[in-house]
Amino acid sequence: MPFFPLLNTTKATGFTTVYNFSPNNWENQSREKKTVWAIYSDGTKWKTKKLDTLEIGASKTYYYKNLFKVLNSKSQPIILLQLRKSPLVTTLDSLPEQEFAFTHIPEWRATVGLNLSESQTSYQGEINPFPQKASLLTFHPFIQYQRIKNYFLFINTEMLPDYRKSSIEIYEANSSKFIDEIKVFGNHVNLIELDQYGFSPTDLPVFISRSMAGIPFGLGISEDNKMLSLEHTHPPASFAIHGERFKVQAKIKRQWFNTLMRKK
Amino acid sequence: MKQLIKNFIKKNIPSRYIEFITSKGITLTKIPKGIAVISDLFVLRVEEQWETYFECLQFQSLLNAEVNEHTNRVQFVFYNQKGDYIDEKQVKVEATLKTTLNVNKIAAGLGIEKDGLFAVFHPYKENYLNKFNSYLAERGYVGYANKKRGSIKGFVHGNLDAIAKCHYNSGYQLLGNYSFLEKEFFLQHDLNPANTYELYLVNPTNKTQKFLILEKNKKDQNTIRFSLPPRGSYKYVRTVDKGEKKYNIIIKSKLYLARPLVFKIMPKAFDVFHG
Repeated sequence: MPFFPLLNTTKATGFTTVYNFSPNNWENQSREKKTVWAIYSDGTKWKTKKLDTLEIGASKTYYYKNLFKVLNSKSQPIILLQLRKSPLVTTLDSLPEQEFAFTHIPEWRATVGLNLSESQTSYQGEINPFPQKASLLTFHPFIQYQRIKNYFLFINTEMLPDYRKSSIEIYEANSSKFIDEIKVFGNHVNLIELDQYGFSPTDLPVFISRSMAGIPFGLGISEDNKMLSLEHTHPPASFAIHGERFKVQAKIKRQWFNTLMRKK
Repeated sequence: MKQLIKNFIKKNIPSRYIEFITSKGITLTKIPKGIAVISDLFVLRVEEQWETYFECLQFQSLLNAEVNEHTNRVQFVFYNQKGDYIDEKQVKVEATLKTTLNVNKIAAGLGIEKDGLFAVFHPYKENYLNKFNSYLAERGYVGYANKKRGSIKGFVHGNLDAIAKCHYNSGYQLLGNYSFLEKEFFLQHDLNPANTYELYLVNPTNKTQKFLILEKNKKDQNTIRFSLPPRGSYKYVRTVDKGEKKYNIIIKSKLYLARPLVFKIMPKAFDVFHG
């Protein structure tokens, strides 16, 4: 059920380019006109807005500030873009199912990015709603040290429209030293400033949430605001390939959650 | 049992045969023939004032939070654009969980002055990954910098689980699967005016592969054809001038996922990401 996230932060503004063409020609897919819908939560309901109809082969870029009031807040509601055939009612209690066949090698993706002055950064992305009973463990090697501001970006979406509260605990992985605990919200783009913690070049920040999953990113912004850098970090399953790698992930998470719990 | 059967099929029947039965059985990466550690084939940029950095993490410690166990060295292996092995080096890493390595310096020490590819192999160690029939995989993170192009590093993760280093004979095995049939990969990213795009393609298979890049917009259409030997890499450059229409890129080959690494060079900054 891929949605395409449209992000925003107080530091850089978000854009997403949606494509009505598949990334490959050999997986089952729907070649037809598709309508782009924006879906965002007010905390109790999903609100929907019809945007455009894209012809086969077309693409269109959407800007967060044109669709939603930009808040001066470290957490901002995520906008989800969806390609649809049938219309949506104006409010929903749960995210709608997909209506088209999409590819998997690779996933059908959008260009999801941030703008600042004349610079852009993006990744090829999509988001599927995370289950409520899920967690996050990720190691963060992206901190840069010369004339740069460093941030941790955490995005989440769930089927229900609640702004569910959770927290992200920050540790330094070498020492397992507890650094901070930051409140985060479901169905939001959450921004955490990292320079306040004084991580050194050999430190490895580790971020955990015991009650919420999501996609973690490193965001770097040059002090002169001329360049941005955005990349997601991997879940622990990425340390392994083949076999039962999600059992590997479960074991890694269990160990780190236990270790870090004791140090809090 | 189901997992065992799946593993047996993955290990013994190439995806290009399974594809005739179902596309759902296709896997991008072969299972190594024996005990091995795996690496991506990362793009090394050293020409035109590019710098390449590698964020080396201590996997053994990350896999075992309760054990303070560090690797002293990791192995870097370099290949030129034709896929030829150039050289390798055991690189010392700190006894900390993260070491930022300047790959340009490592490459320069081996006399490498051209762009190419590199792999990073951690020492093999028996652990619970064996129990789950999994293999340790280095997927990066690579940081690219260029003071002429932008003031900070752009980071990108690995793209391919491309190459295995066998534990017993220290030989290498390329892991990329390919088809009997030509496939098209459509880059879901518009090449917009006023930017230059540099796309790197890699051949992670054990066979020379033919590629065709089709660049098209509403007015023009051009094709570029080339062959890439195993471990080879190719740089495609397209500048889209102000006033030109945006371009889209289609890559034809027998790879299931001919996904390039994309550098987007803007007037005062750059960005890097996977297609």
